[in-house]
Amino acid sequence: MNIGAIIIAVILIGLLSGLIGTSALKAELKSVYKKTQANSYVVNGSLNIVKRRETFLYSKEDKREKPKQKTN
Amino acid sequence: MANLHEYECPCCGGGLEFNSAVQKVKCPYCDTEFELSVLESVDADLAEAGSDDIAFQSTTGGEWGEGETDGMNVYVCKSCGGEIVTDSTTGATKCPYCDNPVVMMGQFKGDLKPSRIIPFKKDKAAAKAAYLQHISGKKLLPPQFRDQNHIDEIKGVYVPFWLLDATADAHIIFNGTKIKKWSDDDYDYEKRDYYSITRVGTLGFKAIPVDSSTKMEDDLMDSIEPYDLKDAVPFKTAYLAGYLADKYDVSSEESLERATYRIKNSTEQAFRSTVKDFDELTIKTDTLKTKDGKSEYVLLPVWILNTTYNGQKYVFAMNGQTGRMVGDLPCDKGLLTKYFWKYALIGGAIGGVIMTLFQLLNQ
Repeated sequence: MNIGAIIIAVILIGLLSGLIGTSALKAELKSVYKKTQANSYVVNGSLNIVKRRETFLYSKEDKREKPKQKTN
Repeated sequence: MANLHEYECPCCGGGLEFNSAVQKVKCPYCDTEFELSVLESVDADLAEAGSDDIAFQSTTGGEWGEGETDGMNVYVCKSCGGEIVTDSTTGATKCPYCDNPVVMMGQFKGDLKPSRIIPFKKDKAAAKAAYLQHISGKKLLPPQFRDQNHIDEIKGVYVPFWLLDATADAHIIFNGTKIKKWSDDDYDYEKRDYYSITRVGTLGFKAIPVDSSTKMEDDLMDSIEPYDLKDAVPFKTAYLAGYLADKYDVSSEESLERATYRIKNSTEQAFRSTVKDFDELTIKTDTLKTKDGKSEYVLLPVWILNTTYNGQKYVFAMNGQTGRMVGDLPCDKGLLTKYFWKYALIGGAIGGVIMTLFQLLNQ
């Protein structure tokens, strides 16, 4: 790896670290969210599944050639 | 003026307030404490009363023009004679002149009477402490914001909620895929088996809280859940003394829409948990009906803290039973930039060292 590639990689790692770090700090400031679920209010043992069906539809098979190693 | 009630101290005549620490009504002037049962006779009168016309409770006479009082009520304080102007949903407040707590009895008569109430367990000092804890340790919070003087107002409010019971009757069809992978010397193979999976059934929900006041932000009220209904007691207006209270202005039918959204998501999740051994699972169709719907009107305790920063209003809410505090905080852009570059330099330096060592080891 040449020096130019290392410098670019270091800059990218640095920018990514800055973005992840500040995103985590920003998340600390937010605590108000809309509730999307009511899991806390489910009556215990009330789940009653009266019909279960699993129907096979079709199959699909793919194959990919493995990359061959170059030999001199 | 029959609709306005002040719980006056039999000893000194001061305005009584419900004290969350002793769970009794207490006079803030002479410190005398009263059991709520002493004040039950007032509630007995309420129980006997029928439904009331809630559009307009009482006025002071001919001083207001036609249409001028739409959407608001005007009361006269029994202690000082001052005029108390409220909006049409206010159920308890304080006189702006003598600061005596007053309860608008007409707001809780007949069908408007809540069935239960959770009395405040946390007091104003606890709300302030929770707020200070909430803003501590936040690196991007503007330093000026931490100043306690920025709290404009702390008020204890009994917020009207609907507790909704319902049974979800759902018919969900999933698309499921089982994936098998294998290889030989020349090829990688992948076989995908596609299935249609059906689940039909029911799931019960009990006491989903939905705030029924348009004054309160729905997200804010969602965020201070949950409440423990074991502490809920039959409603008595005496609990409102010293706090603010509103009556509902969102019907249970309107609230059901918000609850149904949450019921649907939870039902999908519960039904999904019954489908095993699939590598991929997506919902194809989802039909949900709610049945056995039931609603209960309750008042739940919330501490509201308001503050203003850079001309923008920030509202914080604390669950008056559990002490859970929420509220979005402002971000200091200068600090954000400073921390971005700090983390970028640290991350870049560590990355550089690791890459250099890696390079040296491979040479």
